[in-house]
Amino acid sequence: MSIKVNNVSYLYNKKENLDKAALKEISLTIKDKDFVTIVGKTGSGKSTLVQTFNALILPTFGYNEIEEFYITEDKKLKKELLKNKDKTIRKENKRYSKLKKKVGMVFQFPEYQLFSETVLKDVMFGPKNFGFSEEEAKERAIKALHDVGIPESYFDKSPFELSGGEKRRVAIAGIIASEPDILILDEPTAGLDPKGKKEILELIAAYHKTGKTVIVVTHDMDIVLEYSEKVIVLNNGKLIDILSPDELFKKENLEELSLEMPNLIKFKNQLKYWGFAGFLENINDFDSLIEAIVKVKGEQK
Amino acid sequence: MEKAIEVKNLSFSYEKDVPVLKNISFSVNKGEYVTLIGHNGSGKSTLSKLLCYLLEANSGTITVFGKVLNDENIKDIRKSIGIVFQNPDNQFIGSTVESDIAFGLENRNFSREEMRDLINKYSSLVGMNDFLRRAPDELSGGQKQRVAIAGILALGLKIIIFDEATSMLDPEGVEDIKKLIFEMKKEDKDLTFISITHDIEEAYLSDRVIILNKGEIFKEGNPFEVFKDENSIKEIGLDIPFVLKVINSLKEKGVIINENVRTFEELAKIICQ
Repeated sequence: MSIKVNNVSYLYNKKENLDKAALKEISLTIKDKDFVTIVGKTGSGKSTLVQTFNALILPTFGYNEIEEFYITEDKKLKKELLKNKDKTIRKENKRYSKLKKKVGMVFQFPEYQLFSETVLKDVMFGPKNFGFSEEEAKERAIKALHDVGIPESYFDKSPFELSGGEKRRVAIAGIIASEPDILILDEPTAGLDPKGKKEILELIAAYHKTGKTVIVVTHDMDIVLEYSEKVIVLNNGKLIDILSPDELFKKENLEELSLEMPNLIKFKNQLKYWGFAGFLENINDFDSLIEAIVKVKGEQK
Repeated sequence: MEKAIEVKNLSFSYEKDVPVLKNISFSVNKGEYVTLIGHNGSGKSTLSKLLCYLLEANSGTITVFGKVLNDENIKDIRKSIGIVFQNPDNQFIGSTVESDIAFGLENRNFSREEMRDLINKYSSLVGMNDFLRRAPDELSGGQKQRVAIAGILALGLKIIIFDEATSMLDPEGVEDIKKLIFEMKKEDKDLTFISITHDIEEAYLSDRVIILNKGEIFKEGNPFEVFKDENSIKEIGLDIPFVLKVINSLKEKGVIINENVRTFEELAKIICQ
């Protein structure tokens, strides 16, 4: 499923001017089955943008188009967009409940929102809410928990007994149990140890491989480099660029955008700065970097 | 060396027979910058809550500047020790940024003017001075974390503990706060700073690292010693700093770097010699 963002602006306070908008005239397309990361400093509008994708907040001006859904707060524009559409589509565009099932959102620190008595019940909540029967919801919850690597012995435990990383996986299971076509995750690895981080990323990558569109909001440039196919760069509510990770890390003005380079790129740049004698272009993985250094240092001996 | 904090034989469990911390002992010197790392569930956050007496230990003692924490002196001791937790929503008390920072100051006999000056100074230092009248629901997670940090820094404490206090900030924000802490430490050499973190690169640059694993101290010492054995670090779900990763991988291929190197720059210089 793809997302078309058409000239979207968002104002928290409708009386304020557009220069104070959280999103400013953004247009972009996220293609079906893409793995996209969204980067930018705090307050750049990343979280706000993704929240307009499942109509959690509505663009003040402009609109998002996702299949038959038109997401906007601009009533006049919406009427115009739905003018020649049939009745069911017009109806679906009223409350967007079907859209919310298709576009799943995992918030920052989703484990803060766990609430049921047991892990299984918590994961069943989403699908039940979207109209699946008790039995279906259970089936889906079990599959989702399996997919995120939570063992069956945990199903009847209280979610609060689990570790931070486990809680987060349960919270993600709660969203993927409804099998959204688009999965959005806001800072999914924040606060996790390296092992927990790796586990979360692997499960997201596995979900992507089942043919879903995945959008990850992150500050972690290692995720951008290793996992994503496209990067959306935001700054101060504006779209700066949409490009491949390779293209992004070749840019000179990353620091102006408050983006940190991945460690590998940072180190590569230091080597270049101090006059490294070997060839470093197009080296984007750790082993190749080591080889390049060994080649030079070996020759010196 | 005067000890800011001394922890002796500390044990804690939330449930009977499920110990979270097992007989832990360590100390932090006055003016030291110590990082505490460990996998999720290693007991780090429980320890931070014990350190500021939000939880009470089952056994063992915590001594802050020579005084053993107890019900009677905790009010007094809280004047010298403060903590910023990870989840800023649990710490936001005021209805606006301004009133939230003011909250901690209110119990400390500052005049209105002094309070206003402190609020302005520290909200500026964390980059939130344009947001003083904003309500918490208008702020991002990272912005709320900045407010929580300003609220603690404004108190002029002797010991500051960050329990993943910058986890929602962007890299530049994290860098800004680190610089701010370094500046404050430079101004006040006696300021003790403890950072509970998953950021291994940060730990590598601190004075001393304590690694917790399953409620016990797994390793403790200067960053070079602590991260030396890559395998054992990885076995407990952690990773080693990038600089050491490069050095170890080069060593496997016969390129030996003997110096203790901390920064990317130092390592790049040595390689390019």
